[in-house]
Amino acid sequence: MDRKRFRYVSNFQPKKCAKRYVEADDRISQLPDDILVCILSLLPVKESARTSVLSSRWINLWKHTPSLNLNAPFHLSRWVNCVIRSHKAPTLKEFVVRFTLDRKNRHAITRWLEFAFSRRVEKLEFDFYGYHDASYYYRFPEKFLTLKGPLSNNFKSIKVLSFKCLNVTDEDIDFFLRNCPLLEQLIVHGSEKISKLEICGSSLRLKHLDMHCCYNMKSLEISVPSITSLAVPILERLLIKNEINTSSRANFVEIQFKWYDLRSRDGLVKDAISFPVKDEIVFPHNHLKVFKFCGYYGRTNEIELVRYIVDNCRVLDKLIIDPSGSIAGDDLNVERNARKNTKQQLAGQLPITLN
Amino acid sequence: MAAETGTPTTLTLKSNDDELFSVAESAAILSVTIRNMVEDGCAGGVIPLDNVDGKTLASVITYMNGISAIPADEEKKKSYRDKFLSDKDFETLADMVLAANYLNMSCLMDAVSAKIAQVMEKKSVGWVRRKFGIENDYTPEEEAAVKEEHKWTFEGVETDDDN
Repeated sequence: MDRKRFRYVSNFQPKKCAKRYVEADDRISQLPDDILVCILSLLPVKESARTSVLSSRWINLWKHTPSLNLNAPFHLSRWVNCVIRSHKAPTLKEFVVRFTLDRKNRHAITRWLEFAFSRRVEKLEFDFYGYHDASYYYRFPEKFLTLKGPLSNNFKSIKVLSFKCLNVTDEDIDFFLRNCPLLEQLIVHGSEKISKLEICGSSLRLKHLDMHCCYNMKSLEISVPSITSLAVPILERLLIKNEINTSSRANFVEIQFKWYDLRSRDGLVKDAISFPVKDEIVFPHNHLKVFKFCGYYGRTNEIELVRYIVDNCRVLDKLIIDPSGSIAGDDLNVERNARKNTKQQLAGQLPITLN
Repeated sequence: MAAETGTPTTLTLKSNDDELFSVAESAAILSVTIRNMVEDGCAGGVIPLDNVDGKTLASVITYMNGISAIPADEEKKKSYRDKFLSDKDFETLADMVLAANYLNMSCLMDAVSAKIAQVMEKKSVGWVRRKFGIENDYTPEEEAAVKEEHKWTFEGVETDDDN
């Protein structure tokens, strides 16, 4: 007979939280620590930490929440520092920081990374949006990502890594792939330092790779059996060479091209699109089920790519053509034209119905 | 263990105040605690649930039946949970969260926790104390010290105590 209770927090020391007698009609304070921690973990960090003022019963509860989601428009770094100084949970399911980066925050960010890794974080997300000049983006210090430091064992718990508006390099990606055996999702948006990625390994567990807005990315070669979805910018070379065992279940199901990544940072559009459609792109044709094409405008080579996909991917279930975010701009007219083009051009050519 | 007869198996649950309830096994195994008993073959006869009273157990069983009747559609399940919890007062929610914890029913546990968190969100310390009857046992000096330590939690916060 198993009456195992939920354990949201390990190594929890209840006595520290309840130093005094709790009033008989104070029902909420009588709930067990793990339930109160579960409730507090559903509040924004600022709100959950504020409950420490309620009474002595509550003073330490928030410090044991398994997820830290820090999201603020401005002046965040000081209170992130307050949070990581106080927080006591030995392990973290989630550490998410979203705010507008300021140049003086760099050292603080390194400390946050150290904090997150020291708590054996499972999901780490840094989103430093709003800074248009990528030369100011944070970069991992050279000596940070090594296996000699005290953090060496703490990369092993990571399942999700998401770095938005940080200058992650090819070498950084390589480091995380080699040292995070449980990594399932890798999301890098807006890094200027990615150029050529080779992601190969039968022991990798990577399912989802999203390299949105990495403008300098030139090529991707991927051979990972577990991969199920891929979102990449325009590339000179894309090679997906999964050696899929024919007896096993087909597992490659989705690929997205984010065409509007072509838009350059200064708002100008590169006018010549030279996407090598057929010769240098290799899909696992027999396994691709969903193909999504963002930013479609109806140019000849775009039509060719779509036709190629339809002709060659036999098990394709869904072809999503999304003209919004077309490279020509955000203008609604442009999108309307793109939609019209899409219908006219593709309706006659595809053995499918268009919505 | 469920007999392979094709007819739905029914379990009998007993609350800590000796009320008996019949519930379809397919609904009852939403509770991991009960599912483990069924899998271990100890679910024959009456299943005593020593930490749940009859009133709460009746409510939990209503939830079990309601949610298990909905096919795999997370939207519909969510709207059922919201509706199910909408008219419950805090006393009932506290009983339910304890029962869900004991029965190891993560979906109910999460939903009730979210409901309680929702009540606390964007409220001042004073409002939360009054609403839940939390006695402030700090001395004025202690309270000032805790407030100082957590000063950052009061910055830029607008509370909404009227709703």
